[in-house]
Amino acid sequence: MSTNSGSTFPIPGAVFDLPPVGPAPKELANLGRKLATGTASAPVVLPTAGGPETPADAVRFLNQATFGASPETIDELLSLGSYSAWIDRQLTLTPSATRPFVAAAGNSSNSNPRHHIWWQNLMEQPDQLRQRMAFAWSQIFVVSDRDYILSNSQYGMCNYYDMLAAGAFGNFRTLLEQVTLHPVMGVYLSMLRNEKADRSRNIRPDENFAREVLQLFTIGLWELAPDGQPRTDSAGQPIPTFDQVLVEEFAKVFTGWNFDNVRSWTDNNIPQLSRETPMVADEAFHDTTAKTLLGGETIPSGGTAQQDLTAALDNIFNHQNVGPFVAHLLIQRLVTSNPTPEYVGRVAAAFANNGQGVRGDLEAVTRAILLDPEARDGHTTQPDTFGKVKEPIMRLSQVWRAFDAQPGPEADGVYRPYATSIETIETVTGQGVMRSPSVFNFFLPDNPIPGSAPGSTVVAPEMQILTEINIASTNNMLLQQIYSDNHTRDAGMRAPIAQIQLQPEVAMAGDIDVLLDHLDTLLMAGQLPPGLRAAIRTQIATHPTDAEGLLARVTDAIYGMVGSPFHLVQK
Amino acid sequence: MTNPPLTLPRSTTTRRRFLAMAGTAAAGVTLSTMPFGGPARAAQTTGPRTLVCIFLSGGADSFNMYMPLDHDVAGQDYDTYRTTRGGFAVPATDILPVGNGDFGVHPLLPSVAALAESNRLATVVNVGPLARPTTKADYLAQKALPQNLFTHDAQRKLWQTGQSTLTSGQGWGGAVANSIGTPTGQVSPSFSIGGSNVWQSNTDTTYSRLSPTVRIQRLAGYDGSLWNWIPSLSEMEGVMASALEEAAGSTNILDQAASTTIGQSILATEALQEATADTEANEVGMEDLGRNRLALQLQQVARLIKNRSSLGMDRQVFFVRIGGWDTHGQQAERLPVLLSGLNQAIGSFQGALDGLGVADSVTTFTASDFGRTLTINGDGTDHGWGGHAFVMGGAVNPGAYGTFPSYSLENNPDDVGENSRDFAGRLIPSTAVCQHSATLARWMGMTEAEIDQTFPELGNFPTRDLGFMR
Repeated sequence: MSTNSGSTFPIPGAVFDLPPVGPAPKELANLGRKLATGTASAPVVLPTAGGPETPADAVRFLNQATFGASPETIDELLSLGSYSAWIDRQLTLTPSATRPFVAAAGNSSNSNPRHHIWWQNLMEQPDQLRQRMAFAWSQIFVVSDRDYILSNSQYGMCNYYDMLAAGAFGNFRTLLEQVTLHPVMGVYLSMLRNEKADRSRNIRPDENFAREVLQLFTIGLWELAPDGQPRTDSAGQPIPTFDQVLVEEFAKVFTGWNFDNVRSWTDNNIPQLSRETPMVADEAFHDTTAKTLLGGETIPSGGTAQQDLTAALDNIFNHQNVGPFVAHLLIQRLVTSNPTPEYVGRVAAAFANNGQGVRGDLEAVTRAILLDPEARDGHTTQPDTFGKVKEPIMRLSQVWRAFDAQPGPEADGVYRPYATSIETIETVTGQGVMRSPSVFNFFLPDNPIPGSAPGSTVVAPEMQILTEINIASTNNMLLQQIYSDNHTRDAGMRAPIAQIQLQPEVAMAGDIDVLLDHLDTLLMAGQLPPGLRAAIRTQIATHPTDAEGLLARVTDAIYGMVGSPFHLVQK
Repeated sequence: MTNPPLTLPRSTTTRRRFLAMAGTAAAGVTLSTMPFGGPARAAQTTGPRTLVCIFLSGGADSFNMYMPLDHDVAGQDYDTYRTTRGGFAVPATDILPVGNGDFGVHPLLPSVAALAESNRLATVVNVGPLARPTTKADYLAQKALPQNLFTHDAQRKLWQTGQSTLTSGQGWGGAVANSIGTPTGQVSPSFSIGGSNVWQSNTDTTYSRLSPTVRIQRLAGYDGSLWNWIPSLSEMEGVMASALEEAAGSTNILDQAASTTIGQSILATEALQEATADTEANEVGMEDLGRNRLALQLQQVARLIKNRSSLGMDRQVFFVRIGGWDTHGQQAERLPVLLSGLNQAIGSFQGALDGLGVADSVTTFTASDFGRTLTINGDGTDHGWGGHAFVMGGAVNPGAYGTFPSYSLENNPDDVGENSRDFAGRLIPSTAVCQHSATLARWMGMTEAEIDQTFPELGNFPTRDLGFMR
């Protein structure tokens, strides 16, 4: 285990520095390079999409890459004039963290602070791309504190999330090993204290992590072509990537790992810090027999827990599926639910080779996703299928960021909608960070559109949690935010509710078309359809131009857009 | 393999019928192959009927929910169970016997034992997704196996579609709801309190997804009469209606879906707000539920059953779900919590049904992703295939149905393992999900033609109806 410190996770002001996890980045960067050797060496050209031509272009991009376009970030992107330059700048920003805030709150069983700081960061911190990627990764490398043990490990949960943020632009291989050895994952998928077979006790290794690391984190169930389309056998049938026997082989690999700083394999006196430092090997419980991995590769007998783990993660990392599998999931989180095979293929190619012969470079993958022609122009080139249903909590974050929401006057600086507890956002919307019901995330990547015809392949993952109840309660939360919890709210009445600031909009509301153009750009990325625009225009023209009337124009126009079906979809 | 029939049905008429059939059956034919009911029986269409699926998400360890006790057949007996399960074996003295005592349920499931005592429990043993009757030789030759065996999402889907391939996303609960039909402008009689699921997905009939605890809010902004303390909202109704219409006509499929979803939300929240509210009129007599999420879901079910006539619903289909059953680790601590919660929910729900006088017209069944391994991985169990499932209610023919599997770790013909080293107690089902499901669907009034359409592989099996429904 590497013992380097300091530069791995530069989180300023951290109460506790994040401990290093897994091999040092440098070693793994080299590993990535080494592994790339011998792969197809066609020249790799990463996309370098230009820049936004209009503010609406900027909003489209920012809604994919951040938690919502704000006037400030729109201006920044327009003045940079280049998407690529904006990404460059994002990469230089200090990662914001959740762990220090939660540790300061001083109760590892209280999950409220974890949600508070997550919202506060996405509202106030500039490292938006990193945070958006961390949130996306938290839905791939899933852990959830619905698990009752993790509900009491809030420092560990935060440490895990901050790890995803810190690694968002590093190498996939590094992140995969950090995730594998994180005790929060160890608890969640029971690799922690997974022990070798013992015939005398009639026990055998736990298959949980072995199965899910393959199925959900890296390669999926079916052999994929480089463009993410399933490969088929001579009978035209898809080809499974692994079978039960292989799961059992990997289960043997992932044996022998325990909390750091415990006195024995079963010691239940677990220091708090051991819930956030990488698991350590206890060789007595590691299965040292030979193992057969993907593609028939074998690990000889006699390896240590770390040696076997390294070999197995290398084996997985080099499987041809990882690039297209991960590309597809990330594209769905950021850009579109139904990417073309060509788009997946281009992002997968960036995964395979970042242009410098390195496999698994997540910075290159992120760039490839956001700068791809399909991401930038899909709304015009494939208008019938392009886009995604927004994750429910992002409808709120987009409205808050568009209108510079300010937290309630309470000292904690927390952003809350009308409901008094921020955790209620989960009740209202059906989604909360690291709160999915299982390792299968909030929704499945192949969730069909409800009522779609049998055989339809068009999917809408997020619709899985858009229940009739949540649609209504989310709508009502946004409606309340727009009409009541804005800057005009009496200070005495507003605690502890966040307020959106609508003064700029009120100031332009004297000219209805100026107002509508502005809101169309800010909220709808210039895609407000003509019928809805006309209906809103007719409605708000009935309001006079006194102060009350101007505010009514603004709130009606905003709700008309935000409450409409078009705001559920990001195109 | 020659397994004698399992516990005999207790009710006199059923017992007599069973014995008559047994008399004509060839020796060695097991109960699962008996032609109970079957295609000749006309679909039942009279009286209200409600079907409730309790989905134990994650793969419940049903081998520790229903166990052999006095069942004295080599490989299927208590001693084999105890040996194979090792530290997880429930002591025989703790098991609550059901029926004639050949089998019993976990000591933390007294509500289930009580249902058995009142002749309202059927157990379908070693049931799982199958394309056709499958032997170990078939398994080893990879012949016509269900797709993606042992994986959560795939096997959960197969349980909910009643098929062995993943291509169909149409659930059989949705097919039942579709055969019931929905009058124009009304909400469908299909409700989930457990979130989106495949079971109720159907191209032609939607289902409403409700919350166990969140009060239904009607969608403000789309109805001018709501939230009228905001002056503009009475005027915004027209704007929102036009938006809904424009999105429905959009060429973008996601815009269309968003429009449909909002429209469905308007309809469902309006129709169901009153029927699901925590009011005196909706009192169903389920008390002290605390944080039991399953019981809270079933309370909503009971409310909607209570209101079924005012909702104009003769038939209803419900889905509830409770997670946490994927007990790879710390099963000794986790499973008791899960079983206690399940027990409290079932007991409390049954009490409500009895109080409402509807117990004979409501059938509740458990389903899960898969059975688990009989063997232990140190402190838990892993993904298996066949498992045991409960069917509960006044309309069941009590007893055990299907062919009980061998639990042996030596030369086990039901274990997918190839040699003794591989035997983990991952059992090849002897009864198919489609047989189990079709039996329930038939009780709900589906015609044989609809059943054949819904379960295209049913014809591969000798028995179309397992006989556990009256």
